[in-house]
Amino acid sequence: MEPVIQIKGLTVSYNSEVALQDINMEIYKGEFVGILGPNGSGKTTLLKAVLGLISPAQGEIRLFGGPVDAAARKRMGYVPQKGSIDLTFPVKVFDAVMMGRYPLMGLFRYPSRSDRILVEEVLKGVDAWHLRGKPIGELSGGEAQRVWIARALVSNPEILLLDEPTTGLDVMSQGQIIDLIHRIHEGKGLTVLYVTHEVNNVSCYLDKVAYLKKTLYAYGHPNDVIKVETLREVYAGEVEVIQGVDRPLVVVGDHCHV
Amino acid sequence: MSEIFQYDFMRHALMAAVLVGGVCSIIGVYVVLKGLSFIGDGVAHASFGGVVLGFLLGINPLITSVLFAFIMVGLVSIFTGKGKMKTDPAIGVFFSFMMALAILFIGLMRSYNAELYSYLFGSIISVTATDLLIMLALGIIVLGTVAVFFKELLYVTFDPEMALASGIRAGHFNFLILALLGLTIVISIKSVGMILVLALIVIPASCAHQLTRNIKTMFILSPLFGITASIGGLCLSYYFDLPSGATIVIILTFIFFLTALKRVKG
Repeated sequence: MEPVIQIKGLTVSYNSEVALQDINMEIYKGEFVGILGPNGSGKTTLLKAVLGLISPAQGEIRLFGGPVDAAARKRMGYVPQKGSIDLTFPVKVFDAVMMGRYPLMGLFRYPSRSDRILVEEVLKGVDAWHLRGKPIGELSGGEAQRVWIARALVSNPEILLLDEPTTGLDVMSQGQIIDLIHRIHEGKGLTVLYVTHEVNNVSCYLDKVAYLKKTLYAYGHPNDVIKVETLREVYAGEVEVIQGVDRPLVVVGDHCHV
Repeated sequence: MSEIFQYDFMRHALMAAVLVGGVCSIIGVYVVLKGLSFIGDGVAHASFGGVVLGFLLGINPLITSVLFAFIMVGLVSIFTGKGKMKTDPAIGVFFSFMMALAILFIGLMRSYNAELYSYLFGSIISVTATDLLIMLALGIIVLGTVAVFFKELLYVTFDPEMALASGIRAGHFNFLILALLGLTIVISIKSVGMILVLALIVIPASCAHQLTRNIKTMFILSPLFGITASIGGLCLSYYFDLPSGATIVIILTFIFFLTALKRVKG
Protein backbone atom coordinates (compact mmCIF):
# COMPACT_ATOMS: atom_id res chain seq x y z
CA MET A 1 0.00 0.00 0.00
CA GLU A 2 1.25 3.46 -0.88
CA PRO A 3 1.51 5.93 2.02
CA VAL A 4 -0.79 9.02 1.89
CA ILE A 5 2.05 11.12 3.26
CA GLN A 6 5.61 10.23 2.37
CA ILE A 7 8.44 12.31 3.81
CA LYS A 8 11.86 11.57 2.36
CA GLY A 9 15.06 13.15 3.70
CA LEU A 10 13.23 16.35 4.66
CA THR A 11 15.42 19.23 5.82
CA VAL A 12 13.87 22.64 6.55
CA SER A 13 15.76 25.74 7.60
CA TYR A 14 14.77 29.27 8.54
CA ASN A 15 17.45 31.56 7.16
CA SER A 16 20.52 29.63 8.27
CA GLU A 17 18.93 27.88 11.27
CA VAL A 18 18.07 24.23 10.68
CA ALA A 19 14.59 23.43 12.02
CA LEU A 20 14.24 19.89 10.75
CA GLN A 21 16.97 17.57 9.56
CA ASP A 22 16.71 14.49 7.40
CA ILE A 23 13.21 13.42 8.44
CA ASN A 24 11.90 10.18 6.94
CA MET A 25 8.31 9.16 7.70
CA GLU A 26 5.58 7.21 6.00
CA ILE A 27 2.00 7.72 7.07
CA TYR A 28 -0.69 5.40 5.80
CA LYS A 29 -4.36 5.97 5.16
CA GLY A 30 -6.45 5.99 8.33
CA GLU A 31 -3.54 6.27 10.76
CA PHE A 32 -3.78 8.48 13.84
CA VAL A 33 -0.26 9.82 14.35
CA GLY A 34 0.86 11.84 17.36
CA ILE A 35 3.81 14.20 16.88
CA LEU A 36 5.62 15.00 20.11
CA GLY A 37 8.71 16.82 21.22
CA PRO A 38 9.85 19.79 23.29
CA ASN A 39 9.22 23.44 22.32
CA GLY A 40 11.09 24.45 19.20
CA SER A 41 11.59 20.84 18.14
CA GLY A 42 10.09 21.42 14.70
CA LYS A 43 6.60 19.94 15.22
CA THR A 44 4.75 22.89 13.70
CA THR A 45 7.40 23.18 10.99
CA LEU A 46 6.72 19.57 10.04
CA LEU A 47 2.97 20.23 9.69
CA LYS A 48 3.63 23.38 7.66
CA ALA A 49 6.02 21.54 5.39
CA VAL A 50 3.41 18.85 4.78
CA LEU A 51 0.91 21.58 3.88
CA GLY A 52 3.46 23.26 1.61
CA LEU A 53 3.42 26.47 3.66
CA ILE A 54 7.19 26.12 4.01
CA SER A 55 9.37 24.73 1.26
CA PRO A 56 12.00 22.14 2.11
CA ALA A 57 15.69 23.00 1.82
CA GLN A 58 16.33 19.37 0.96
CA GLY A 59 14.30 16.23 0.54
CA GLU A 60 10.79 15.73 -0.62
CA ILE A 61 7.22 15.32 0.58
CA ARG A 62 4.65 13.43 -1.44
CA LEU A 63 0.93 13.57 -0.73
CA PHE A 64 -1.43 10.94 -2.12
CA GLY A 65 1.48 9.80 -4.30
CA GLY A 66 1.85 13.23 -5.91
CA PRO A 67 3.45 16.61 -5.23
CA VAL A 68 2.40 19.12 -2.53
CA ASP A 69 0.22 21.42 -4.65
CA ALA A 70 -3.10 23.27 -4.46
CA ALA A 71 -5.00 20.15 -5.53
CA ALA A 72 -3.44 18.11 -2.70
CA ARG A 73 -4.11 20.90 -0.19
CA LYS A 74 -7.80 20.81 -1.03
CA ARG A 75 -7.83 17.22 0.27
CA MET A 76 -6.41 18.28 3.66
CA GLY A 77 -7.91 20.00 6.67
CA TYR A 78 -5.74 22.08 9.00
CA VAL A 79 -6.34 23.40 12.50
CA PRO A 80 -3.54 25.90 13.16
CA GLN A 81 -2.03 26.72 16.53
CA LYS A 82 -4.01 28.92 18.84
CA GLY A 83 -3.19 32.59 18.41
CA SER A 84 -2.69 32.43 14.66
CA ILE A 85 -6.29 33.47 14.02
CA ASP A 86 -7.42 37.12 14.33
CA LEU A 87 -10.34 36.85 16.76
CA THR A 88 -11.31 40.51 16.30
CA PHE A 89 -12.19 39.81 12.68
CA PRO A 90 -15.88 40.58 12.14
CA VAL A 91 -17.20 37.18 11.19
CA LYS A 92 -19.81 34.89 12.76
CA VAL A 93 -19.16 31.22 13.47
CA PHE A 94 -21.36 29.97 10.60
CA ASP A 95 -19.62 32.17 8.01
CA ALA A 96 -16.17 31.39 9.42
CA VAL A 97 -16.83 27.66 9.01
CA MET A 98 -18.26 28.27 5.54
CA MET A 99 -14.87 29.68 4.52
CA GLY A 100 -13.60 26.11 4.69
CA ARG A 101 -15.80 25.43 1.63
CA TYR A 102 -14.52 28.44 -0.34
CA PRO A 103 -11.57 26.72 -2.04
CA LEU A 104 -13.95 24.07 -3.39
CA MET A 105 -16.45 26.53 -4.88
CA GLY A 106 -15.80 28.07 -8.28
CA LEU A 107 -15.26 31.74 -9.03
CA PHE A 108 -18.39 33.87 -8.76
CA ARG A 109 -20.11 31.03 -6.86
CA TYR A 110 -21.77 31.83 -3.59
CA PRO A 111 -22.50 29.19 -0.96
CA SER A 112 -25.25 26.87 -2.19
CA ARG A 113 -27.91 25.04 -0.21
CA SER A 114 -25.74 21.94 -0.07
CA ASP A 115 -22.83 23.99 1.28
CA ARG A 116 -25.10 25.33 4.01
CA ILE A 117 -26.37 21.87 4.88
CA LEU A 118 -22.79 20.64 5.12
CA VAL A 119 -21.80 23.48 7.47
CA GLU A 120 -24.84 22.66 9.62
CA GLU A 121 -23.97 18.96 9.75
CA VAL A 122 -20.34 19.61 10.64
CA LEU A 123 -21.22 22.20 13.30
CA LYS A 124 -23.71 19.77 14.85
CA GLY A 125 -21.05 17.04 14.68
CA VAL A 126 -18.63 19.08 16.81
CA ASP A 127 -21.45 20.20 19.12
CA ALA A 128 -21.16 23.86 18.08
CA TRP A 129 -24.38 24.42 16.12
CA HIS A 130 -25.76 26.60 18.92
CA LEU A 131 -22.76 28.94 18.44
CA ARG A 132 -23.48 29.57 14.73
CA GLY A 133 -24.62 33.20 15.19
CA LYS A 134 -21.84 34.25 17.58
CA PRO A 135 -18.95 36.49 16.50
CA ILE A 136 -15.75 34.43 16.71
CA GLY A 137 -14.32 36.88 19.27
CA GLU A 138 -16.94 35.83 21.82
CA LEU A 139 -16.05 32.13 21.91
CA SER A 140 -14.36 30.39 24.82
CA GLY A 141 -11.11 28.51 24.16
CA GLY A 142 -12.79 25.11 23.86
CA GLU A 143 -15.63 26.47 21.71
CA ALA A 144 -13.17 28.18 19.37
CA GLN A 145 -11.21 24.93 18.90
CA ARG A 146 -14.41 23.05 18.01
CA VAL A 147 -15.24 25.75 15.46
CA TRP A 148 -11.77 25.56 13.84
CA ILE A 149 -12.03 21.79 13.73
CA ALA A 150 -15.40 22.23 12.00
CA ARG A 151 -13.83 24.61 9.48
CA ALA A 152 -11.14 22.03 8.74
CA LEU A 153 -13.72 19.24 8.33
CA VAL A 154 -16.21 21.09 6.17
CA SER A 155 -14.13 20.55 3.03
CA ASN A 156 -14.40 16.75 3.58
CA PRO A 157 -10.64 16.28 3.88
CA GLU A 158 -8.86 12.93 3.76
CA ILE A 159 -6.07 14.11 6.05
CA LEU A 160 -6.58 16.22 9.16
CA LEU A 161 -3.64 18.12 10.66
CA LEU A 162 -4.00 19.60 14.14
CA ASP A 163 -1.42 21.83 15.83
CA GLU A 164 -1.74 21.63 19.63
CA PRO A 165 -5.54 21.85 19.66
CA THR A 166 -5.71 21.33 23.43
CA THR A 167 -3.03 23.79 24.55
CA GLY A 168 -4.35 26.36 27.00
CA LEU A 169 -7.64 24.55 27.61
CA ASP A 170 -8.84 23.28 30.99
CA VAL A 171 -8.72 19.53 31.59
CA MET A 172 -12.44 19.03 30.83
CA SER A 173 -12.25 20.86 27.50
CA GLN A 174 -9.04 19.01 26.63
CA GLY A 175 -10.84 15.71 27.14
CA GLN A 176 -13.76 16.85 24.98
CA ILE A 177 -11.49 17.90 22.12
CA ILE A 178 -9.52 14.63 22.23
CA ASP A 179 -12.74 12.58 22.31
CA LEU A 180 -14.03 14.62 19.38
CA ILE A 181 -10.87 14.03 17.32
CA HIS A 182 -10.99 10.32 18.20
CA ARG A 183 -14.65 10.17 17.08
CA ILE A 184 -13.84 11.93 13.81
CA HIS A 185 -10.90 9.61 13.19
CA GLU A 186 -12.98 6.49 13.84
CA GLY A 187 -16.14 7.72 12.14
CA LYS A 188 -14.66 9.06 8.92
CA GLY A 189 -11.56 6.90 8.69
CA LEU A 190 -9.47 10.07 8.39
CA THR A 191 -5.71 10.13 8.51
CA VAL A 192 -4.84 12.39 11.46
CA LEU A 193 -1.58 14.17 12.27
CA TYR A 194 -1.81 15.47 15.79
CA VAL A 195 0.85 17.75 17.27
CA THR A 196 0.75 17.85 21.06
CA HIS A 197 2.78 18.23 24.24
CA GLU A 198 0.58 15.94 26.29
CA VAL A 199 0.87 12.30 25.31
CA ASN A 200 -0.88 10.45 28.17
CA ASN A 201 -4.44 11.58 27.47
CA VAL A 202 -4.25 10.63 23.81
CA SER A 203 -1.79 7.72 23.53
CA CYS A 204 -4.53 5.09 23.88
CA TYR A 205 -5.98 6.33 20.56
CA LEU A 206 -2.73 6.75 18.66
CA ASP A 207 -1.57 4.25 16.07
CA LYS A 208 1.87 5.79 15.94
CA VAL A 209 3.94 8.30 17.84
CA ALA A 210 6.76 10.40 16.42
CA TYR A 211 9.31 11.99 18.76
CA LEU A 212 10.92 14.99 17.16
CA LYS A 213 13.79 17.22 18.15
CA LYS A 214 15.14 18.59 14.91
CA THR A 215 15.63 14.98 13.83
CA LEU A 216 13.21 12.11 14.20
CA TYR A 217 14.26 10.26 17.39
CA ALA A 218 11.65 7.54 17.30
CA TYR A 219 8.62 6.62 15.22
CA GLY A 220 6.31 3.69 15.80
CA HIS A 221 3.57 2.21 17.97
CA PRO A 222 3.21 4.00 21.34
CA ASN A 223 4.16 0.86 23.29
CA ASP A 224 7.37 0.51 21.31
CA VAL A 225 8.32 4.18 21.23
CA ILE A 226 7.42 5.52 24.65
CA LYS A 227 10.59 4.33 26.37
CA VAL A 228 12.49 6.08 29.09
CA GLU A 229 15.81 6.08 27.15
CA THR A 230 14.24 7.72 24.08
CA LEU A 231 12.37 10.33 26.09
CA ARG A 232 15.39 11.27 28.20
CA GLU A 233 17.29 11.91 24.99
CA VAL A 234 14.50 14.00 23.46
CA TYR A 235 13.66 16.03 26.54
CA ALA A 236 17.26 16.09 27.82
CA GLY A 237 16.23 15.63 31.40
CA GLU A 238 13.85 14.41 34.00
CA VAL A 239 11.49 11.97 32.37
CA GLU A 240 10.03 8.82 33.83
CA VAL A 241 7.91 6.22 32.10
CA ILE A 242 5.48 4.36 34.33
CA GLN A 243 3.74 1.24 33.09
CA GLY A 244 -0.01 1.92 33.24
CA VAL A 245 -2.72 -0.73 33.05
CA ASP A 246 -2.71 -0.97 29.25
CA ARG A 247 0.00 1.43 28.13
CA PRO A 248 3.07 3.37 29.25
CA LEU A 249 2.52 6.75 30.92
CA VAL A 250 5.01 9.60 30.68
CA VAL A 251 5.94 11.85 33.59
CA VAL A 252 7.99 14.83 32.45
CA GLY A 253 9.88 17.08 34.85
CA ASP A 254 8.76 15.46 38.12
CA HIS A 255 10.69 17.95 40.24
CA CYS A 256 9.36 16.58 43.52
CA HIS A 257 11.58 13.51 43.17
CA VAL A 258 14.72 15.10 41.84
CA MET B 1 -30.73 72.07 -2.90
CA SER B 2 -31.36 70.78 -6.45
CA GLU B 3 -30.44 74.14 -7.95
CA ILE B 4 -26.75 73.60 -7.23
CA PHE B 5 -26.71 70.69 -9.66
CA GLN B 6 -27.82 72.78 -12.62
CA TYR B 7 -24.15 73.41 -13.34
CA ASP B 8 -22.17 70.81 -15.29
CA PHE B 9 -19.20 71.00 -12.91
CA MET B 10 -21.43 70.32 -9.91
CA ARG B 11 -23.07 67.33 -11.62
CA HIS B 12 -19.61 65.97 -12.40
CA ALA B 13 -18.55 66.66 -8.84
CA LEU B 14 -21.58 64.82 -7.50
CA MET B 15 -20.88 61.77 -9.68
CA ALA B 16 -17.23 61.85 -8.61
CA ALA B 17 -18.30 62.03 -4.95
CA VAL B 18 -20.51 58.95 -5.27
CA LEU B 19 -17.87 57.04 -7.22
CA VAL B 20 -14.93 57.93 -5.00
CA GLY B 21 -16.95 57.57 -1.79
CA GLY B 22 -18.17 54.14 -2.87
CA VAL B 23 -14.95 52.64 -4.23
CA CYS B 24 -12.74 53.96 -1.39
CA SER B 25 -15.04 52.68 1.33
CA ILE B 26 -15.34 49.17 -0.18
CA ILE B 27 -11.55 48.78 -0.51
CA GLY B 28 -11.32 50.40 2.93
CA VAL B 29 -12.87 47.30 4.51
CA TYR B 30 -9.84 45.24 3.42
CA VAL B 31 -7.45 48.03 4.40
CA VAL B 32 -8.90 48.28 7.92
CA LEU B 33 -9.15 44.52 8.53
CA LYS B 34 -5.72 43.74 7.09
CA GLY B 35 -4.00 46.79 8.61
CA LEU B 36 -2.85 48.34 5.33
CA SER B 37 -3.14 52.04 6.24
CA PHE B 38 0.57 52.74 6.03
CA ILE B 39 1.06 51.12 2.64
CA GLY B 40 -2.07 53.03 1.53
CA ASP B 41 -0.43 56.28 2.52
CA GLY B 42 2.77 55.20 0.77
CA VAL B 43 0.87 54.41 -2.42
CA ALA B 44 -0.92 57.78 -2.25
CA HIS B 45 2.44 59.58 -2.11
CA ALA B 46 3.81 57.43 -4.92
CA SER B 47 0.78 58.22 -7.12
CA PHE B 48 1.39 61.89 -6.53
CA GLY B 49 4.94 61.41 -7.82
CA GLY B 50 3.36 59.84 -10.90
CA VAL B 51 1.01 62.80 -11.32
CA VAL B 52 3.91 65.27 -11.24
CA LEU B 53 5.82 63.17 -13.77
CA GLY B 54 2.74 63.20 -16.02
CA PHE B 55 2.67 67.00 -15.95
CA LEU B 56 6.42 67.15 -16.53
CA LEU B 57 6.25 64.90 -19.59
CA GLY B 58 2.95 66.29 -20.82
CA ILE B 59 1.03 63.00 -20.64
CA ASN B 60 -2.21 62.24 -18.79
CA PRO B 61 -1.22 62.19 -15.09
CA LEU B 62 -3.65 59.35 -14.32
CA ILE B 63 -1.57 57.00 -16.49
CA THR B 64 1.72 57.84 -14.77
CA SER B 65 0.10 57.72 -11.33
CA VAL B 66 -1.20 54.16 -11.96
CA LEU B 67 2.35 53.25 -12.96
CA PHE B 68 3.86 54.77 -9.82
CA ALA B 69 1.24 53.22 -7.54
CA PHE B 70 2.09 49.79 -8.98
CA ILE B 71 5.84 50.40 -8.70
CA MET B 72 5.35 51.24 -5.00
CA VAL B 73 3.24 48.11 -4.38
CA GLY B 74 5.71 46.02 -6.38
CA LEU B 75 8.79 47.31 -4.53
CA VAL B 76 7.24 46.69 -1.11
CA SER B 77 6.05 43.22 -2.15
CA ILE B 78 9.48 42.27 -3.51
CA PHE B 79 11.35 43.46 -0.43
CA THR B 80 8.95 41.89 2.09
CA GLY B 81 8.43 38.60 0.21
CA LYS B 82 9.31 35.37 2.06
CA GLY B 83 9.97 37.30 5.27
CA LYS B 84 13.06 39.03 3.88
CA MET B 85 12.19 42.34 5.51
CA LYS B 86 9.47 43.70 7.78
CA THR B 87 6.68 45.53 5.98
CA ASP B 88 6.82 48.69 8.05
CA PRO B 89 10.41 49.78 7.26
CA ALA B 90 10.03 48.64 3.63
CA ILE B 91 7.09 51.02 3.23
CA GLY B 92 9.04 53.72 5.07
CA VAL B 93 11.96 53.45 2.65
CA PHE B 94 9.95 53.57 -0.58
CA PHE B 95 7.37 56.05 0.74
CA SER B 96 10.19 58.57 1.18
CA PHE B 97 11.82 57.63 -2.12
CA MET B 98 8.59 58.23 -4.03
CA MET B 99 8.00 61.55 -2.31
CA ALA B 100 11.60 62.54 -3.09
CA LEU B 101 10.93 61.77 -6.76
CA ALA B 102 7.78 63.94 -6.65
CA ILE B 103 9.76 66.86 -5.19
CA LEU B 104 12.54 66.32 -7.72
CA PHE B 105 10.03 66.38 -10.61
CA ILE B 106 8.45 69.57 -9.23
CA GLY B 107 11.95 71.09 -9.15
CA LEU B 108 12.49 70.10 -12.78
CA MET B 109 9.29 71.87 -13.85
CA ARG B 110 10.56 75.37 -14.53
CA SER B 111 7.08 76.89 -14.33
CA TYR B 112 4.52 77.01 -11.54
CA ASN B 113 1.61 74.61 -12.11
CA ALA B 114 -1.54 75.46 -10.16
CA GLU B 115 -3.29 72.25 -11.20
CA LEU B 116 -0.77 70.22 -9.18
CA TYR B 117 -2.34 71.63 -6.05
CA SER B 118 -5.67 70.01 -6.84
CA TYR B 119 -3.88 66.62 -6.78
CA LEU B 120 -2.24 67.52 -3.50
CA PHE B 121 -5.28 68.88 -1.65
CA GLY B 122 -8.12 67.63 -3.84
CA SER B 123 -10.55 69.62 -5.92
CA ILE B 124 -13.69 67.69 -6.67
CA ILE B 125 -15.28 70.53 -8.65
CA SER B 126 -12.43 70.51 -11.15
CA VAL B 127 -13.17 66.90 -12.19
CA THR B 128 -13.87 66.90 -15.94
CA ALA B 129 -16.05 64.60 -18.02
CA THR B 130 -12.93 62.83 -19.31
CA ASP B 131 -11.65 62.35 -15.75
CA LEU B 132 -15.04 60.92 -14.80
CA LEU B 133 -14.94 58.41 -17.65
CA ILE B 134 -11.48 57.17 -16.63
CA MET B 135 -12.55 57.08 -12.98
CA LEU B 136 -15.70 55.14 -13.86
CA ALA B 137 -13.77 52.61 -15.95
CA LEU B 138 -11.21 52.05 -13.18
CA GLY B 139 -14.00 51.94 -10.56
CA ILE B 140 -15.79 49.19 -12.50
CA ILE B 141 -12.51 47.25 -12.71
CA VAL B 142 -11.97 47.55 -8.94
CA LEU B 143 -15.51 46.69 -7.85
CA GLY B 144 -15.84 43.97 -10.52
CA THR B 145 -12.65 42.32 -9.28
CA VAL B 146 -13.94 42.46 -5.71
CA ALA B 147 -17.21 40.82 -6.82
CA VAL B 148 -15.48 38.05 -8.78
CA PHE B 149 -12.96 37.18 -6.07
CA PHE B 150 -15.07 38.11 -3.05
CA LYS B 151 -14.66 34.73 -1.30
CA GLU B 152 -10.94 34.45 -1.97
CA LEU B 153 -10.22 38.05 -0.90
CA LEU B 154 -12.25 37.57 2.26
CA TYR B 155 -10.47 34.33 3.20
CA VAL B 156 -7.04 35.82 2.51
CA THR B 157 -7.90 38.90 4.59
CA PHE B 158 -9.13 36.84 7.52
CA ASP B 159 -6.59 34.04 7.64
CA PRO B 160 -3.96 34.08 4.87
CA GLU B 161 -2.08 31.03 6.14
CA MET B 162 -5.24 28.95 6.33
CA ALA B 163 -6.35 30.16 2.92
CA LEU B 164 -3.03 29.05 1.47
CA ALA B 165 -3.18 25.75 3.36
CA SER B 166 -6.57 24.97 1.86
CA GLY B 167 -5.53 25.55 -1.73
CA ILE B 168 -6.09 29.29 -2.35
CA ARG B 169 -3.16 31.16 -3.91
CA ALA B 170 -2.83 33.56 -0.99
CA GLY B 171 0.25 35.40 -2.30
CA HIS B 172 -1.51 36.31 -5.55
CA PHE B 173 -4.58 37.56 -3.71
CA ASN B 174 -2.54 39.58 -1.21
CA PHE B 175 -0.92 41.32 -4.15
CA LEU B 176 -4.33 41.77 -5.79
CA ILE B 177 -5.63 43.61 -2.71
CA LEU B 178 -2.66 46.01 -2.88
CA ALA B 179 -3.17 46.50 -6.63
CA LEU B 180 -6.86 47.32 -6.05
CA LEU B 181 -5.82 49.73 -3.31
CA GLY B 182 -3.44 51.40 -5.78
CA LEU B 183 -6.17 51.79 -8.43
CA THR B 184 -8.58 53.15 -5.82
CA ILE B 185 -6.09 55.84 -4.82
CA VAL B 186 -5.51 56.77 -8.45
CA ILE B 187 -9.27 57.10 -8.97
CA SER B 188 -9.59 59.36 -5.94
CA ILE B 189 -6.47 61.48 -5.95
CA LYS B 190 -7.86 64.37 -8.02
CA SER B 191 -11.10 64.60 -6.04
CA VAL B 192 -9.81 64.40 -2.48
CA GLY B 193 -6.08 64.88 -2.91
CA MET B 194 -3.02 62.81 -2.07
CA ILE B 195 -2.94 63.98 1.52
CA LEU B 196 -6.54 63.16 2.41
CA VAL B 197 -7.30 60.12 0.24
CA LEU B 198 -6.35 57.68 3.00
CA ALA B 199 -9.07 59.16 5.22
CA LEU B 200 -11.74 58.34 2.67
CA ILE B 201 -10.44 54.77 2.54
CA VAL B 202 -9.90 54.13 6.24
CA ILE B 203 -12.60 56.14 8.07
CA PRO B 204 -15.84 54.73 6.55
CA ALA B 205 -14.69 51.13 7.13
CA SER B 206 -13.54 52.01 10.65
CA CYS B 207 -16.99 53.50 11.38
CA ALA B 208 -18.61 50.29 10.12
CA HIS B 209 -16.21 48.20 12.20
CA GLN B 210 -17.36 50.06 15.32
CA LEU B 211 -20.96 49.07 14.69
CA THR B 212 -20.83 45.46 13.57
CA ARG B 213 -19.04 42.15 13.98
CA ASN B 214 -20.52 40.88 10.72
CA ILE B 215 -18.34 41.33 7.65
CA LYS B 216 -21.31 41.48 5.27
CA THR B 217 -22.86 44.34 7.23
CA MET B 218 -19.50 46.11 7.07
CA PHE B 219 -19.59 45.99 3.28
CA ILE B 220 -23.00 47.73 3.38
CA LEU B 221 -22.35 50.28 6.14
CA SER B 222 -18.92 51.38 4.93
CA PRO B 223 -20.04 52.68 1.48
CA LEU B 224 -23.13 54.14 3.11
CA PHE B 225 -20.92 56.32 5.33
CA GLY B 226 -18.44 57.00 2.52
CA ILE B 227 -21.01 58.14 -0.04
CA THR B 228 -23.11 60.12 2.47
CA ALA B 229 -20.08 62.04 3.71
CA SER B 230 -18.82 62.68 0.17
CA ILE B 231 -22.13 64.13 -1.01
CA GLY B 232 -22.63 66.01 2.27
CA GLY B 233 -19.11 67.43 2.15
CA LEU B 234 -19.53 68.48 -1.47
CA CYS B 235 -22.77 70.40 -0.73
CA LEU B 236 -21.38 72.06 2.40
CA SER B 237 -18.20 73.08 0.60
CA TYR B 238 -20.32 74.64 -2.17
CA TYR B 239 -22.59 76.65 0.14
CA PHE B 240 -19.90 77.81 2.53
CA ASP B 241 -17.07 78.01 -0.02
CA LEU B 242 -14.87 75.49 1.81
CA PRO B 243 -12.22 73.10 0.44
CA SER B 244 -14.21 70.00 -0.55
CA GLY B 245 -11.70 67.28 0.40
CA ALA B 246 -11.19 68.66 3.89
CA THR B 247 -14.94 69.10 4.43
CA ILE B 248 -15.61 65.48 3.45
CA VAL B 249 -12.91 64.18 5.80
CA ILE B 250 -14.14 66.32 8.71
CA ILE B 251 -17.69 64.98 8.24
CA LEU B 252 -16.32 61.43 8.15
CA THR B 253 -14.38 61.98 11.35
CA PHE B 254 -17.52 63.35 12.97
CA ILE B 255 -19.40 60.17 11.92
CA PHE B 256 -16.51 58.16 13.37
CA PHE B 257 -16.93 59.81 16.78
CA LEU B 258 -20.67 59.12 16.68
CA THR B 259 -20.17 55.44 15.79
CA ALA B 260 -17.55 55.12 18.54
CA LEU B 261 -20.31 55.91 21.04
CA LYS B 262 -22.24 52.88 19.75
CA ARG B 263 -19.20 50.59 19.60
CA VAL B 264 -19.92 46.86 19.76
CA LYS B 265 -17.89 44.55 21.99
CA GLY B 266 -15.53 41.87 20.77
